[in-house]
Amino acid sequence: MFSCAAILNEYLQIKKEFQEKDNYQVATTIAGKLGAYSSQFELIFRFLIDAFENKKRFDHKTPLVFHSIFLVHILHACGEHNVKTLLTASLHDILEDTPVTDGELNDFIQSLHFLDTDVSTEEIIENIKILTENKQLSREPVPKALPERYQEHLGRIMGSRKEVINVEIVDRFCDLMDLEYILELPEEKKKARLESKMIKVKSFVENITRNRHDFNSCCLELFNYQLKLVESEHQLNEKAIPIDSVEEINMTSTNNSDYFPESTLIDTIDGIQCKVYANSHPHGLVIVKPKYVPEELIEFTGMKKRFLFEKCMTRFNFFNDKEIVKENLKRLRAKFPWFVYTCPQHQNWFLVVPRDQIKKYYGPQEGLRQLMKVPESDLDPYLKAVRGLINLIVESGVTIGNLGISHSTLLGNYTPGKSDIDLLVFGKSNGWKVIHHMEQAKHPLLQWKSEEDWAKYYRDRVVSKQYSEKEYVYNMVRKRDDGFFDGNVFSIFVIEKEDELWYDWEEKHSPLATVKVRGTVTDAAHSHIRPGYYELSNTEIVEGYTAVPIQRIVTWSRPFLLQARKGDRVESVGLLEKVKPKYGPEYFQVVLGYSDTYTSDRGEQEYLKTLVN
Amino acid sequence: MHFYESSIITTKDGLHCQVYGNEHPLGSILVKPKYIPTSLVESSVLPYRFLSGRKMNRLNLWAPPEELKKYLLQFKSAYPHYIFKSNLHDEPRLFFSIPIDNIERIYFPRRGFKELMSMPPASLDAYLQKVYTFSLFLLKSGLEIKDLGITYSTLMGHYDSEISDINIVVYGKKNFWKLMEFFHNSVHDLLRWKTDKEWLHFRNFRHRSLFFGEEDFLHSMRRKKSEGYFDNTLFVIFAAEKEDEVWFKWGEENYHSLGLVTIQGKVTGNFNSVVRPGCYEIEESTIIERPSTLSPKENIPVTKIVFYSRDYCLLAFPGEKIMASGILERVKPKEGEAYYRLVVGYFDSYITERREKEYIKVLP
Repeated sequence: MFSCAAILNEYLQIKKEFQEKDNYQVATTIAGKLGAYSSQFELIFRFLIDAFENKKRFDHKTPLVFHSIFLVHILHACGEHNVKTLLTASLHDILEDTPVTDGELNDFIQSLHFLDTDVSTEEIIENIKILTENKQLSREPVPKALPERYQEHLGRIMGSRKEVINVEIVDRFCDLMDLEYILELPEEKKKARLESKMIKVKSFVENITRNRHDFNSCCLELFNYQLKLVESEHQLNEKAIPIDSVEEINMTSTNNSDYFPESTLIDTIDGIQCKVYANSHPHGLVIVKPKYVPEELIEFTGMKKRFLFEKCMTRFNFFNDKEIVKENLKRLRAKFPWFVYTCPQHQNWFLVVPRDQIKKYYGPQEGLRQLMKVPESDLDPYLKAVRGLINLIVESGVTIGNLGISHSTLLGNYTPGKSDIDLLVFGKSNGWKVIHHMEQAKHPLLQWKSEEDWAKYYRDRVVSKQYSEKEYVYNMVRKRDDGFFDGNVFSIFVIEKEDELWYDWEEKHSPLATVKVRGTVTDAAHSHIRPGYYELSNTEIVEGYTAVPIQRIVTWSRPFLLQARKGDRVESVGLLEKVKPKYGPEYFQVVLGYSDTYTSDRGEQEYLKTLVN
Repeated sequence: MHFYESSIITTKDGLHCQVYGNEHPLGSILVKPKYIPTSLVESSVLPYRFLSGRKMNRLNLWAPPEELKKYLLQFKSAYPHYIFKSNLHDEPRLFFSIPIDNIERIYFPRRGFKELMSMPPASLDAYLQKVYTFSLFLLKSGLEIKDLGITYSTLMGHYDSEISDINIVVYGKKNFWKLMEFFHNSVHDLLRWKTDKEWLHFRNFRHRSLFFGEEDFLHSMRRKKSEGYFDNTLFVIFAAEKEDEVWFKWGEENYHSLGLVTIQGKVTGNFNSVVRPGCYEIEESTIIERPSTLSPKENIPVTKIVFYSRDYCLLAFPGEKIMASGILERVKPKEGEAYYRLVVGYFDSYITERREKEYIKVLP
């Protein structure tokens, strides 16, 4: 029978036994109460006692190993008999606090022979790694926030398997049981430490259990029981800090925000699936590219078909002869005039979906969280690769809550072996973290196109007349947002958060001419988003217009993202515009990739490249 | 109300449901929830899938009974609006239904089939090309595109080309029988029927070994031409009743439960045994086992054996003797005389001891 008070009593009693008696003997008694798995846990506990080498806690009398063994006992007492949870709990501190290596741990788990269960060694080690803090990060208190180490750790735990969640809740319960070392501090220090302890444990438990119902409710009850005791005894009332509170966008058109993140998907009322094509949008509209259009609505020419979602769909794209693109746009406009928005501020047109035409928005962040909760054994090889890539990206320090999945990975209509994995990273600084991490990352399943691959690609496809082979290879080989993971092509899309949007639809753009420019990149901080830009200095207009200083090159086209770095000398052809901002002086910019490039000669002329010496 | 069996409904709160039967109460569609989001209710004994951006449980009625019972209890409290309380049955029977207002989208198998057959074959992936080729073969039976549908993952687009089945719906019972006749007389290089080993695997998987000896089971199953392999992919063919050929109408009968009984009888008709709920007309019925509440002397002539599980489709043929165990019901039609029927496979049977007791089998 589960009883919080009884567990509290046992805690004190067993802790005393660990302090005073032979630890092997005490551990054997605890293992004996674990039913079918007693013999395995006897071995595990022995392994733990040896690994912890009789190290002691702050009180210098309680063996460190007590915590790991008692955690298993508590979980079992809470009715948690899932061997994967118990195994994860027993070993959760082993990598953090002992000299045991990954390899030794792997061998040990395999030697346990849980033949009658679906225990996977990889899964258990993955759980343990999720529960292991990154000691490289600081845990110095930060005002009104969690220390960096806890934020990162919490981000990894959120959305994890329920086994991890249950262990973490009980681990935080233990934090509340072991306060002696704080209570002995001078009054002022004691209060501050208690407050930050409360913030930590509450933040962990509230964040990891938010919006899920699959964890063991007795574990949470036990945690809350002890929390109330501590709070009332020490008159504390700290609040949890919500982290990664994903801005959940309403799944219907009732969303009143103008924020629709780039590379996410919306369905129109008529059943057209569109990809959002910018992060900021004109009021009441969403900038998009149609992706799948039911053939029954419009018959296009020169585009591929797919059978999807019960219908014959046309895979809409602009990569076609411009006369065909013009014809298809004409047909689109004839059926749905609202799709083509002529923007007076730009004197140009964009494809849009008016807000009142949106039927459904697919949340990429929630999708990723849901995917991370599915047991590995229930995923197909494609989704396993997606998970593997996410785990690799999380090593960058970017938390799960800042990642998303999109397109066929999200909707489930992927074709293994053919479909790309499209991963979204929310936040510009997070985006750079991930890109820099990928530049250094080593993983047996991660592959990049080599210089030779790119050169072959150039020769086979004749990518552009504007690049020499050498220039093309130089520009492409250093990009780390597209690669292969376990044989699947992946693309990383960096998405601006709502509070970091740079594009202002109120600015007035006057198109002047198609120009060729050169300049030196002074800032490439926005070169990983769409639309993105490069700040320039030392610019010159080589062709097409009189000499005016160019402040930046803006690109709407993904191939020109991450094309140059700070200090690079670049050359570009694009549309010269004079921009009149709402505030501040007018300036000149060159823009690449407006929609009209697909229907005009400018499309074939536009490029951006870093000059090779 | 008529609504075609095997259409797929997604609900506004994310469930994927399969329409269950062709006759439905007014304003609501009877379904079997197929994939259920794990946000409100979850069970680790049910398989998981990542679909439509959500972690889902796949409802498997053959999961361990205690766990399934626990899960369905939680489901009832999480989704009370999807539990249908029938006022036609005097005992509470478990039905799932989707109120019309909760429907997000309906995937129509017939429309999907028509669209698929209109696709340029070169634009289809290997799996869909297989479905397309199989469909062309089916159309040689004389059925037309309007008579056929595709359903489940093929229809919705989340199939796994390595493991997903091909599920075909035939509209109209006459059309279904016509197709079965075609299969008896046709061959195709890529077509084969289930082997004995494959049927025996199925028998063990669905707990049929409790009631059927191997030989009896194989005798019945070998005759089934509604399941087989095309180019090594399993196909299953269902029938959906047209509105003018339904064998009962929801709301025109009341059902009084008389308990679990075992009966024997002689099949007089199996025309309706290809749909859900399916039905064998029988005569010369005798009760073999009865609950104590039924008088041993009472002569109860059962004229129909009704089933909800597709496993019992096409099992028996006229003139054959069959034995069945299920819920005996006294049926009171709005018009006409009362009669008795035996029902196998109400949803509630899967969470009671009836799961291991209900069956239909042909007697040698």
